[in-house]
Amino acid sequence: MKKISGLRLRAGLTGLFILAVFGGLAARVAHLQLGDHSELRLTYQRRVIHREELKAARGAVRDRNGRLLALDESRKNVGVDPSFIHAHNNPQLVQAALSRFLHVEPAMIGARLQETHRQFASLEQFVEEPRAEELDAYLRAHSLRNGVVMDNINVRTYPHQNLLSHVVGFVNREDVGSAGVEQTMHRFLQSRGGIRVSEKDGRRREMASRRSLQIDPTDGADVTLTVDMYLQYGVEEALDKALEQFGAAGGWALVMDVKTGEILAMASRPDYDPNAFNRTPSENMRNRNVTGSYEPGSIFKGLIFAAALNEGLVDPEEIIDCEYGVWIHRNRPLRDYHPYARLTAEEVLHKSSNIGTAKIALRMSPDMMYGYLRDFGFGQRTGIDLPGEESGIMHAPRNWDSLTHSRMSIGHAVNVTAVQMAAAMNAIANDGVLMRPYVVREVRSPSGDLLFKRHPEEAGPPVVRPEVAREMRRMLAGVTRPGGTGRRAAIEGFEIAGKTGTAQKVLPGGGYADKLNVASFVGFLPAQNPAVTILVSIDEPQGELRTGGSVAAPVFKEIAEYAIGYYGIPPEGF
Amino acid sequence: MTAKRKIKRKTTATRSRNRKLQTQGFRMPMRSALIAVLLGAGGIFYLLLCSRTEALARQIKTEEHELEQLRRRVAGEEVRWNDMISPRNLQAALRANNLNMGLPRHDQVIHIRDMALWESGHGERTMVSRLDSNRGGMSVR
Repeated sequence: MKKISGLRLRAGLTGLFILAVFGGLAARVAHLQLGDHSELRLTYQRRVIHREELKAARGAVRDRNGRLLALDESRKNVGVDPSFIHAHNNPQLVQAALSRFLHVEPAMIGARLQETHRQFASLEQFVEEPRAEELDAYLRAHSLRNGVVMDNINVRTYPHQNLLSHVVGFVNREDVGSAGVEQTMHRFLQSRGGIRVSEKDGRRREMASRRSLQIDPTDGADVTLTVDMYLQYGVEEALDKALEQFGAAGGWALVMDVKTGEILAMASRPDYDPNAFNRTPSENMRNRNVTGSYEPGSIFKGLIFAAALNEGLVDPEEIIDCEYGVWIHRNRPLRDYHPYARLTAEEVLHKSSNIGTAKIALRMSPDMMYGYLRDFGFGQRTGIDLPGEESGIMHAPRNWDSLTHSRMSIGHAVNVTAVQMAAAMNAIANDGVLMRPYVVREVRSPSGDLLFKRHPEEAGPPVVRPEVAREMRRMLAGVTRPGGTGRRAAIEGFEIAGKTGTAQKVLPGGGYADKLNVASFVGFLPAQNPAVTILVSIDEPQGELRTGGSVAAPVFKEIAEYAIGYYGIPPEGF
Repeated sequence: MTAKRKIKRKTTATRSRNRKLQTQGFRMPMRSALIAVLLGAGGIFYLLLCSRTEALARQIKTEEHELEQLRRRVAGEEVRWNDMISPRNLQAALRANNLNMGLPRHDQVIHIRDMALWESGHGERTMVSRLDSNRGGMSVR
C-alpha cells in the first residue's frame, strides 16, 4: 500500500510539473499572439523585414549606326564596415589593400577604419568596374574581403565627351533629362524601378525564400538618332579649325539629308562635356543651331530670288541697275560691298549685290514676300525634336516700316535660326518641298520592340515649283564658280550650289557693329541632284577677312569633302 | 463444494488463457494508425519541400547575382568597344602606327549601279537609305 501511494505521488507531481511547464509556455504563446505588441512588431520589421528598391538602367542613346553616345555605366561605391573589420579582419592589411586600388589617401582610409562605432563608412564613389573587380579579386585572394562593402550603382556616362554634346544633352543628378535628346526623349529613356520585400537572416543577408513581393524593374528604351558619329567628328574638326584660325567667338554647322530632312550632323561652339555638366557655364550648353536666332544676311537672298522667280517677276538674264554701289531708297542709302553698275539678275545673286536683290524683292508686294518666307518656314519653329528651339523673329507686313521690305530681302530686319535657314535652302535642293528636320530616328524597348519611328515629313505644300527650284540650283551653282563670292567652297569635279552671307551684328543699343559679324555659307551638293545640305556659320571672326566667302566657305568645303569621301557621293548624285 | 472448486479452477484456467491471448501495451485502431502515418508522411514531405525551397531560393539568389554580373560585364565590354572605335581613338591609333590614311577622293571611287533596279524606281535614291542598305546601287572603293 505505501509503495503504490509513493509512486502515485511522484507520478502526480511529475505530471503536474510537466503541465505547469507546458501550460506556462502555452500561456506565453497566447499572450504573444493575442496581446498588443506593436513595439515588438516594429522591432521585428526593422530587423527582419528587408525592403529593397531594384534599380534599372536608363536607355542608351545611339547614333544611326548603333554606336553608343550615352549609356548607364556600371560602377561601384566602395566603403567599409569598420566595426566588422576590427572584429573579424585585419584593419592594417585591409587599409594597405584598399590604398593600392582606390584613389583615396591612405590616411583617409585609415581614419575611416578607426570609426569603429559605425557600421558603414564610404571611401570612394563611382569606381569603374575593371578597377573594382581587381580590388575584389585581390581582397578575396588575401582573405581580406569581409567587411569591405561594394554597392552597385549606375552612372550616366557620355563616352565621347564633347562630341555631339548639344544634341545628346545630359541628365541631372535626379536622373531627369535636362538638355538635348536626353530631355525630349526622357519619357522613353527613363527606367522604371522595381521593389522587393523579403526577410533578412541573422547575418543581414536577404533570404530569397522569404520574398513576399517582387516587382521587376524595367530598363529604359534605347533611342537611335539620325546623326552619324563619324560625320559629326569631321564636322566638329572642321569647325574647331576655323574657330582657331579666325579667332572666332563661336560657330555652328549642320548637315541635312536633302530628301528626308534627317540631321546627319549638328555641331555648336562653344561646347561642353556632358559628363561635367555641373561645372559648365550655361552659355556653353546652348545649341546655337536651334537656340539663338541671328540676322542671316546675304544667305537669305537665294530665297528671295526663288520667290520672285516662282512669281515670274524676274528673269535670270535681265539687266538690273546696281547704282554703282549706292542706292538711295526711301531717303536712306543702301550700299553694296563692291560697287557694280549693271548686272544680270543671275550675276546679282553671284556677286551678292544688296541693291540688285532689293530691287527684285520690291517687285513683290510685302504680303507676297512675307507669305513666301513663311512658307519657307521662317517666323515659326521647324518642330525639330530638340528642346529650346526658337521661332526667330519676322514681323508681319502691318508692322513694317518704310525700309523693312528692302532690308529684309538682304537678310536684315529678320532673325532666323540655323536649322530654319538650312531647311529653307534644303527646300530648293529638294525641288521646292520643305522637309521637317529631325534628329530622333527610332526608339526600341530593351527587348527590341519598336516603340516609335520617325518618318520623313513634308512641312507643307511645295514652296516653289520644281522647275523653279531646278533653275535656282543652276544659278546658285554659279556662286561657287570663279567670280562668285563662294568660290572658296568649290570642289574639283563637283558642282556646289550655295550662298555666302556676311551679316553685321546688331549692337545692344541699336545699330550695327562695324567689325562684328556672322560669316555664313549655306549650300548643297551635287548642285543638280543634291544629296546633302550643309550650313556653316562663324560668329565674330577676327582679322582682315571676315566675310562668308573667306571664312565660312572653306569650312563648308572641308565638311563637303569629308561627306563626299565618307558617303561616296558621286559627282552626279545618287 | 465441487461446484465452487470447479468454478475456481475455471477462473484460473480462464485467466491463464486470457493472459496468453492478451497483448501487452496500447492497441491502436487501424484508422487512427493510417491517419497518423499520413500525417507523418505529410510532415516529412513538407519538411522536404521547405528544404528544397530553401535550396532553390539560394540557387535563385546565386543566379540573380551571376546574371547581374554578366549584364555589367556585357555593358562594360560594349563601352570598351565603343571607346576603341571612337573617331578620336581611331585617329590616334593611325598616328601611333604611322599610318597616313584618309577618305578616298571621288575619283578613286567606282560606282556600280543596278540599272534595272534603279530605273524601275524601286532602288532607293536617298542618301541615308544608301547608308542603311545597298538597294539601288553600291560603291566600290
